[in-house]
Amino acid sequence: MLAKVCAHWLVTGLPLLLVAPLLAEMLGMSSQAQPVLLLTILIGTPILSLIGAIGVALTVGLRKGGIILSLLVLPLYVPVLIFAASAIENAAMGFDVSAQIYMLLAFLLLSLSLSPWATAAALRMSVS
Amino acid sequence: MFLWFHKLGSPPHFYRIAGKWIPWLSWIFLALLLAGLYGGLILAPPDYQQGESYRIIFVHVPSAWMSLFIYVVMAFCGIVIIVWRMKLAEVVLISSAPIGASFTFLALVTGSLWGKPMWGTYWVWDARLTSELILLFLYLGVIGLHNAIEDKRVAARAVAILALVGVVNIPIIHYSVEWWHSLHQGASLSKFDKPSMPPSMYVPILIMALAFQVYYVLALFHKCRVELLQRERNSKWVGEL
Repeated sequence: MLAKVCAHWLVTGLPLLLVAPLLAEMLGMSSQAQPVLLLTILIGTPILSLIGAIGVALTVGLRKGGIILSLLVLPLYVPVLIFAASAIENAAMGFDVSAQIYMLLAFLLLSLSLSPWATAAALRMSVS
Repeated sequence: MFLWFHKLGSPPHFYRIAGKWIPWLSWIFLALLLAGLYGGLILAPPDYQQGESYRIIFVHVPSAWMSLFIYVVMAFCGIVIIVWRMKLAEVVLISSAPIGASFTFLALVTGSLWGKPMWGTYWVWDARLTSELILLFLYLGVIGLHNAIEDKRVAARAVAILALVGVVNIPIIHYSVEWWHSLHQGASLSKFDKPSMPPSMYVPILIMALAFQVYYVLALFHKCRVELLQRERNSKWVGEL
């Protein structure tokens, strides 16, 4: 399960990580916020892949799974986005960002440990 | 104790018990609602800063509490479904979702109606407001996923997993006013501190909260009875009714 999520992250999260410095430069982001941007993307995108795996496993057997998938998964993404965005905002103003980064790391550890279990349960239910 | 729990879990027994409770609960709800509204709208003094328009909190705060409470109930049902595969928990989870969604919607609408005169805007993308909106989408996701799966027993297991995953949002919503310096005010009522308002204001809130709590159980019983009849329409006890 983790291997599949890793593969998904390699084709979605990693390119984003690579392209982010270029986009940040083009959009005129301040240089002190850029390392934080990369850090939040590095921590955040695996969380998104892990949560997405649960959503896909729940809807894999459905014919009209697409809309429901986004309805299920997008609300769960929002906390990650809130913390990451607030970290970058703080960094741009020159404040400390460790609180937000710790929170994101906590999310990552939580989803890394619990999401494969939930995904497996959902898959077992979907294929039975 | 376990025997009682086991017995309550059987659909015909629950159907009978719920049917007996419904008239009582209706009267209790009506009495509490009238008492709460009278205390809130007539007895409570106007606020020294907000005047009369603060009175919407007598609906807003209890419904926001209920929106969180019902989600926790659903997550608890999710655990029961996954561990014990109890049929009644499936029915309770599914029947709770629309009620919870309505309370969330009510909290959002009353909040934005209050926000217009107080903050000058109906909506801000603030932590508390956004996370409450996410909660609404979680409820809608539960309803949508349940409708999309044909086999209702499979659907219940899927929804149970979703409810358990979504429960991460509950502490985020609850603590959002403390974690971020949001526009939404902090909690005025808490178990450990003295409330930051006089009894004439917080007593009606508590009565309204109790009324909403009773209303939830009442609506839940009604919905569960219908859902049980639909699911068990081929069984013997439904035929005997």
